[in-house]
Amino acid sequence: MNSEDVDLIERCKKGHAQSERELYRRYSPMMFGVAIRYSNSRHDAEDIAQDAWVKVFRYLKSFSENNSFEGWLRRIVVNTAITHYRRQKKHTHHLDIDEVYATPQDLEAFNESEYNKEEIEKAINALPKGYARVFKLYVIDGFKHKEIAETLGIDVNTSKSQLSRARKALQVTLLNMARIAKKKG
Amino acid sequence: MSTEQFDQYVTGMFANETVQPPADAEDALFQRMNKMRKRKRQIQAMGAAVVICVGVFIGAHVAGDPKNAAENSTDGSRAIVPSTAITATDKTESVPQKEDVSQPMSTTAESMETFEPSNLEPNPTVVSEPSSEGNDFSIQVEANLKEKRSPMHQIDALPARTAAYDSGLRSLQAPEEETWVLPAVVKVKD
Repeated sequence: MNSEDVDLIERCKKGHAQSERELYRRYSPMMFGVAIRYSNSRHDAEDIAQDAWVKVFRYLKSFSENNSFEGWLRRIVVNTAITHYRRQKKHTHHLDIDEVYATPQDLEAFNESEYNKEEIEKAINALPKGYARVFKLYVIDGFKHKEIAETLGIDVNTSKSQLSRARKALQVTLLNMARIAKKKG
Repeated sequence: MSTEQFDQYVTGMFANETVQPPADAEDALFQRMNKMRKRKRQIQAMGAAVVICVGVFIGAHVAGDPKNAAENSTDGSRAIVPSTAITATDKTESVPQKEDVSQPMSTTAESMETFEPSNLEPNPTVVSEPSSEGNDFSIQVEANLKEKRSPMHQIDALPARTAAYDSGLRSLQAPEEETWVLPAVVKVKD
């Protein structure tokens, strides 16, 4: 964390309104990106991001400069998104997707150069919600299994098994998408 | 492709991903923040007012309590004490005074040998006790005093042998400087 950020955070801690707006402008694109990743719609993402910012300003005094501020913000958005979904009772953790398990041949055939970001994003969002959430937390946002277990209220082993299944399901989905594209082509 | 490679591929794709939020999101957030802070300040002010009111109520309640008023009056910290409280306090203090007076009187009456007329001076606090209060304590004290004013009468009433024996014994034990006036009863045996 650079000294400019440290000064900005210190001013925010003292309740300086202009500094709060400056902090928001600096980090809101990152926060909104994370919120969109964990939400079903842009409208939900806006609600999640706003709730997360309220928490940021409320608990900013408890933040220590020794930690990563971006990591702290990311964690707040993710927790807010999960709370949001728990409230809406939309998430389902334990959908059985054994039928989409990838075979060794599929994994060998997987070639990353065939897929762009939108396609991978689409494939992740096509996963069952529980698997998609564990995959995003672990692979994209860098959470550890213990942290995922605490955040989602699941066992560490459940987190590990869901991640494994999510990876395989994602690769199968991407291969199917590639096959469909080839047929169309 | 290994799982590690796949993870790195996906991670690299989404690293430092940013999405610009809607333009009105900033104003909406800070309006909400201002409302919340205003409400928090109002709640704090109301809480402070409630604490002050409770403090004043308790203070008034304590001041109205006669016992506390009497206790507080000793240190001088409380200037205003209700008149009812003062009357009640005086009454409660007068009760042990009566007991203190009656106790030595009774012992003096029992040991008539150490009786001296100077001790017969009536206690002004006891005598001046108003009889209109509905007790006969002062009357009883005056009766005791009358009895003490006629010691001979009391001694006459004692058994003759005991009085003579006691008086003789005490005359022997008396120091030389003092002059003792002792009543004597002579009994002649056949």
